Amino acid sequence: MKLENLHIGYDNFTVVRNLNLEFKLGSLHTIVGINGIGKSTLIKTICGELQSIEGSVSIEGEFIENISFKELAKHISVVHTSREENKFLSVYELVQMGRYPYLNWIGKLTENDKQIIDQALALFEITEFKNQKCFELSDGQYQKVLIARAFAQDTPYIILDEPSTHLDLYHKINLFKILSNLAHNYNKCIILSTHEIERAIELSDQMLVLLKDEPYFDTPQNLIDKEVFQRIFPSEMVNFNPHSKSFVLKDIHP
Amino acid sequence: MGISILSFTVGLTLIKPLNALLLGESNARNLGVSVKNSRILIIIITGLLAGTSTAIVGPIAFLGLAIPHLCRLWFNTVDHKILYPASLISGTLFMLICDTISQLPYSSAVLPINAITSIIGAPIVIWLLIRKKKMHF
Repeated sequence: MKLENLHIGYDNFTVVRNLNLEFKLGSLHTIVGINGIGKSTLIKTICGELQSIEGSVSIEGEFIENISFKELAKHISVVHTSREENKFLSVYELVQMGRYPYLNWIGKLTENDKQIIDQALALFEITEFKNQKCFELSDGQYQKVLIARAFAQDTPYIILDEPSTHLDLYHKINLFKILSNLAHNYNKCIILSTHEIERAIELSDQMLVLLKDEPYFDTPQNLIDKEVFQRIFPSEMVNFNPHSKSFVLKDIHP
Repeated sequence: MGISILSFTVGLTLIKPLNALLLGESNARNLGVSVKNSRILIIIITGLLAGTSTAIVGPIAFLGLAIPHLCRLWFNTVDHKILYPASLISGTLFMLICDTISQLPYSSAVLPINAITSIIGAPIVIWLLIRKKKMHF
């Protein structure tokens, strides 16, 4: 997936300027930045929900605007954290919806579809809950179900909008492990936005850091060397320590 | 009658988009469903079905409101593949029961059928509204 000279935003209000980068298959990409810098806007733009202001997004040489919804669903799967799903769906029903772009008008599953669904359930260790309703699950389990849905969609690109919200530390790390496994062992291109910058530095292959003036796209180590992380947050409260690769609070009660 | 059968048949094609819409609009779009077109079609088909059945049998209170919700509870699913035929059949059954009650044998009096459907339907709808607050359906 290539972004060329991309400017994104709403109507006449540009949020992020001049994005030139390429998301590659087989690696885990994270998008970080302060609230309101345009992470969600970027995600909406690259999954075709929002039109870009200038520049282009292309997948395998084809512009995203020229691909129909139906075709796009076979290239990109998206996991939103909006929780607008109907919680009365059972886990199996939710995961099987990932197969929708491939099914006929009535939605009949073939043997092949069933195999892929079973594989997704097994991979995310949710087979034992498959007949439970979603409202009975914990946040951590539910998040896995949503990602299993995206996996069942069998697309080369999986985009996740802040998947780590609502999760505790253990489940956050587990989530990143699952995603990095998907990227490296299943040759997927994973793109996620997150506020877990420290986790992202440890586990992602490429990071996109959105700052007010310009975006940076590089490997985490190069970004540390370029001192980009120091500039994410206003420096009067938090600071980035390049040696421990973590943020430290400044003493706010002198 | 013809129109009603036709719209029922077209309605069958809505099962898949309706199921996808259970995931919310943006997820449905990502699954390759054109939300705008499906929504327009859903409105047209619902309008035609409601209009033709009212034209054939006259207005019946509460039936259309209560039956689909009851089906969701009875069959314990939100899958429209099951709900669509289930609502159709249980709606017919429910209507026949109400009709039997309204013209009970051994009595010459015929009760208005709306009275019967309301007696059964209204409490169900009220109960659903109260439940909805608790369980966000």
